[in-house]
Amino acid sequence: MSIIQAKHLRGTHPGNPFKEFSFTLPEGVIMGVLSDNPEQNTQFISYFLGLSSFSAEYFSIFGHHRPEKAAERMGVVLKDSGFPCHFTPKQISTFGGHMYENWAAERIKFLCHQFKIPLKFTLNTLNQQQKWLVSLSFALSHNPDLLVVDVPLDSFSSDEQKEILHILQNFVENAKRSILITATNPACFGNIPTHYTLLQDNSILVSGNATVFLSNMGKFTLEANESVQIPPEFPVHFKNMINTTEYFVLDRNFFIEKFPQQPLEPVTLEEVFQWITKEESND
Amino acid sequence: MTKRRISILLYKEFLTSCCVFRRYLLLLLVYFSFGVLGIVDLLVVLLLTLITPFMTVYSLFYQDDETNFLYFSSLFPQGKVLVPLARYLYTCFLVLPFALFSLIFLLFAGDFTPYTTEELLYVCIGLLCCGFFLSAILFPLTYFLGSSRSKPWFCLLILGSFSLFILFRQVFFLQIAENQVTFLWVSTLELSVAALLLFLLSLLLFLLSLLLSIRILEKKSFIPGK
Repeated sequence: MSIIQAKHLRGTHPGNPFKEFSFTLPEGVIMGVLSDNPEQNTQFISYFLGLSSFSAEYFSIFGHHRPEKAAERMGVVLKDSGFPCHFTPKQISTFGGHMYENWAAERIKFLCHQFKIPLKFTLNTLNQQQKWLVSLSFALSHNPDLLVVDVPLDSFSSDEQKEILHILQNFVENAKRSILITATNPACFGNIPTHYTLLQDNSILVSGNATVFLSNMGKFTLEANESVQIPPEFPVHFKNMINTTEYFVLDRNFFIEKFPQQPLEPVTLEEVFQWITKEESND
Repeated sequence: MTKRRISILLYKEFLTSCCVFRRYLLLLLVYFSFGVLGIVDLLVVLLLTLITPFMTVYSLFYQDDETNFLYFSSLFPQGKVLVPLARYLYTCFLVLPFALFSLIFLLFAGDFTPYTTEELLYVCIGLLCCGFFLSAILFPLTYFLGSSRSKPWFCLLILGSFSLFILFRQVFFLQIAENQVTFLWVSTLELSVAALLLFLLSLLLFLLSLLLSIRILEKKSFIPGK
């Protein structure tokens, strides 16, 4: 079963930079959304939250065709906490209690206590990270089935990061729940996501189980005097170094079929991310 | 559940507007003192009293923009409908105490003003109509453009309504006072009926404006970084 299913989704608002894409978020997974541009990440997730208008051949989130209908089942942590700055976590808890059917006031109190956030302090007395932690506590307190986290995780201290990742891991212990979490650096995730969506130039480069798509990728290096004739439409990226050229192959099977004599080395997620953020593309 | 959601959104509106209340109430006290002492015309004091709730609600848009509440509230269940609904309801609730306060003031104003209580009452109704009418235009515009981009329109409309108020005072009000009303639509109607119709019309416009605001918010895309 999938929580989100989108086929040929295309943003319809003016100035929309994102290209048409298809996307699936299965149940019980942590999906890391990676790109070098945080706005690109936000734009991507905004379609599933109903914040950006779109048209799609098929769209479903928790069985609803409009994201607004699934609001009760989604917990969202965005860069802006959204609450007025003179609100206290206690007032936010009261707010949540009236807004959501499955509100657990004890949970937000417990999480704020865990994050060492005083319940009676107004938001404007807290730093940005503490505000995000309040938002995370709020998002987790109405018992959502999908948690969407779009905050820069690398701005937290390593202890806070560990604590957040631990909470997220506990969250998906229930196999019906999933997490969509964004970052501009794969190191922030630790090793918790099993699935990734890599974004490049406002489109999805690859999305799915990391083990599966990494096994389908590869790389090879050629000396300056060697060459391989690669057609321009071929899914290969390359990077020129001093005496060598490193090639990054998106579709291993297709490549081996065309160039059986060229051995391929395995790649890691960090290498793929470096490729998509720094490389010169041959297309 | 919808009632619970509306009630908490109204509470949020109240908490947010508390910050500006103190400033406005202090200013009103100053104006009332000036009005009683005869330094400022009582009509101006009435204008400032009845325009205060509308100004207070309009200032909420700025505070929402600061925290991106509009962006955030769209994620709540029924958020795109309930958030504007709460704002329009709050405007109506906020107008009531100010109108009541003006009414009480009018009962005691006879000694300090050349106008009769009945005349001042008509001015009050006119001002309330004006407030609802201006809000009916400004609120959807602000939902559409955002608070900072709608500011020139706000200034234009306020200046326009002030000019109208002066015109109203100079021409219409003095004619009422002398029983020389020559406007066609008033001459055929009782003044009280005309005032009531005008008030109902402004409320109807306000309601239509709510529907427009909801529609705008439902269609609105929140573009990251803008």
